Amino acid sequence: MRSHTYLGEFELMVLLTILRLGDEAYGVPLARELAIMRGSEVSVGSVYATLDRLEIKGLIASSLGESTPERGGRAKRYFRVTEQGLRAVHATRKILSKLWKSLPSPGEELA
Amino acid sequence: MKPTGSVTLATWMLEHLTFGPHREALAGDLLEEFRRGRSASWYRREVASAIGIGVLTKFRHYGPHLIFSFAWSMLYPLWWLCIIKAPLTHTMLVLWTTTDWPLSTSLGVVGQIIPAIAFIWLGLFIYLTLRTERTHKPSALRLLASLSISLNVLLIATMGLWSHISPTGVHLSYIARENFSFHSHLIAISLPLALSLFSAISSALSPTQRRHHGTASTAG
Repeated sequence: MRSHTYLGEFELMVLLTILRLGDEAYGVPLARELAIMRGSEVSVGSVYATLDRLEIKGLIASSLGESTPERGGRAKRYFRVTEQGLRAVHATRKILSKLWKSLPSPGEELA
Repeated sequence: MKPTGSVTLATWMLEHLTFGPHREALAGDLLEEFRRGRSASWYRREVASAIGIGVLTKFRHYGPHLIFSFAWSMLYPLWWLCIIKAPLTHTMLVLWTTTDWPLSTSLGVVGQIIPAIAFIWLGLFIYLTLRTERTHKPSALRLLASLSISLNVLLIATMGLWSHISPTGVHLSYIARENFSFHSHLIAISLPLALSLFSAISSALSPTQRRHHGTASTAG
């Protein structure tokens, strides 16, 4: 197993959105919340592709929920961040925080 | 409830042209949104996007396996040349030509299959070593299963190849005994080798191994 799991930008956003939504984290609310945060439409398919990748990496886990007639009898799949996922988010934040420190203010002369 | 007649074809495409374990959930989510008031054009756009992403993801996953398999199988003529020059091969050839049927046929088949299997398995281990940093290490059981699959694919694909070239006038026994090491046959055998190696790699590095699925609801 790899010692570090590096997260892509969208992967990090999806993980943070799952944490934000808590018990309501499934495909459509995730896509909707991401669209609000990013200010642009996010396709549900791209969210699921990322969720699939994160699940393979062991950063999230999923469980089946209820199936309703509106969904054509198909069950919802809820997602939650695993302990390993949470550690990956914190590690990424740590790295990004260090990098942000060297960000010059707008108008400041670039090195 | 909003009728779904206008998106029947899109739903069918979503169910049959997308991959992955969350296909059902995705189909349910899109249907739920559509019935809550989203337009049919939004639904079709989402389906097209899901299919496109699915194809791209598959290609990104299997593309390197496929490229390596074909590139590796192209080296088979070189491998064959090394085997032909080996002293053990010379001994085997002498034994083969001096042995009566049916043992001679068995020796001939073994003499063709063992180098091919060794070549594929060497390719698999090289690829796994190169990819260890980027993928999970397969378990011993999975590795054994992938080796077994590669052997089966090799035998089936080779039989398919032989049955394909036999009607053109080249007889199986003729290839096996005298003409097998001709370049055209070595190149033709590269296809079963590539398929066999590809199946072994795909099986060994299957992404479903570490999935964390549950069946009990955690929400709602």
